[in-house]
Amino acid sequence: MRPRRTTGLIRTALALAFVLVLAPAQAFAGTYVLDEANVIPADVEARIEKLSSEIESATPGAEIAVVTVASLGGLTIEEYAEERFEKLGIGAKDEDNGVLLLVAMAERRMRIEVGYGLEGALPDSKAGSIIDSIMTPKFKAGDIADGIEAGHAAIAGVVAEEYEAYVPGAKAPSGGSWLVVLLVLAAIMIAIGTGIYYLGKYAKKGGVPGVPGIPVPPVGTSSSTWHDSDDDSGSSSGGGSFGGGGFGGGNSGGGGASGGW
Amino acid sequence: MKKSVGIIAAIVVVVLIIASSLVGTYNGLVTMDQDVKGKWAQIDNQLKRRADLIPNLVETVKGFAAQEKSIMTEIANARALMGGAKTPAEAAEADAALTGALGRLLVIVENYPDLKSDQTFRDLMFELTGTENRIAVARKDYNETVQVFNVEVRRFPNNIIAPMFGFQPAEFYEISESDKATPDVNFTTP
Repeated sequence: MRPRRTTGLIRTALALAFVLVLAPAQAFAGTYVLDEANVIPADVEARIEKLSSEIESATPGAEIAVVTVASLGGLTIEEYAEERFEKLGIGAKDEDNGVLLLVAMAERRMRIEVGYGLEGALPDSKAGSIIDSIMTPKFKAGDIADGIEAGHAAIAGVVAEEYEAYVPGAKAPSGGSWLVVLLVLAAIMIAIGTGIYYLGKYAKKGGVPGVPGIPVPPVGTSSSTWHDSDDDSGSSSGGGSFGGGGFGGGNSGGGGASGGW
Repeated sequence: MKKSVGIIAAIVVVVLIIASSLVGTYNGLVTMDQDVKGKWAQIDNQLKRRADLIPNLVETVKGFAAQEKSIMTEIANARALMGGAKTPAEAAEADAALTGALGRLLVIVENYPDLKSDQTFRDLMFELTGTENRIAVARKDYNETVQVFNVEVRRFPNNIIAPMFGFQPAEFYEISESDKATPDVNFTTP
């Protein structure tokens, strides 16, 4: 029951190209970690942010968010996680490849909520064992931030493996070759298309001018508008139609696992 | 002569207006009806997945706690009930029975440390609680859609038009508050 996982290779490749091309414009600062309970020291938070951001640029927009709250306000951690996930819209909109790592201090509960698109890579049992064997022991010893970082790294490892994109500790992103092929193909096609267009145009007018000034095809105009709008905003909340600040608009269907300490 | 042409024209216009509003209403109801069905399918998928996981669970538990026959029977019965469910209400009831049985199993498991720490068992329990949570999310989704659909079907003039095309208000997927509690998988490291 996950139609979104049967995405065609081409679509994935296109999404990858899209994300990589636009990645610099989408690098938000301080978005992946919402440490509302104030349990993560700045240096740990910075490391988590960095890893999440690397994962997002190396995959089709996979987003791993960390949220800590003082209290769940009477909801179960499952209800709260689902609500927060939807509100933030973690993961790319068409991929639903977000993961939320939620920690509730007062209730001493934690949850890994997995978006539709990653349910295959990170099934409930795997999420459960990350909580069980990686996070819980550290939480029990009182190392909350340590536990969160270790859990986050484990999730990042699973996500990276899924997209064969970036493995923490390893170097070359193996997904890159496809991207290069795709970009080169796209460039060639645009070049040919533009060439034919202008050849036709000038042929009618009676000859190609000796040194044509670099013409700006319609494609270029639209892409530069995109960059402009991004440059001046700095935050994505203005541009997107999705509710969350900075996240891609992904959905979760309630997959994942919970635990306590 | 001229007058009758005007009357006929007026009638044609009125008929056209009514017909086009009928078509619009009908199409709207079809879309919403499909939406309700699609949302139901999501619940149904999870219910089936849940039922599919049960035999594995029973087998695993048997390996460690063969004498706990009554809980096995309870789980098997709940699963059978789910297989026979025809309406959302029946499915909800069967699912609640299964959830209750799984909750009791978790209590029993406390007496079997080997079972509790068995990886297969832990994985299965995570998957089962995961499906339970997915059902909860799908249920919310479904009920919201049903709510919108039912309001639309009952509003005038749709309450006259809808039955002509066989559209009935859809059934909510409801469970009693007491059954709502999800069994809590909270393994403490042995």
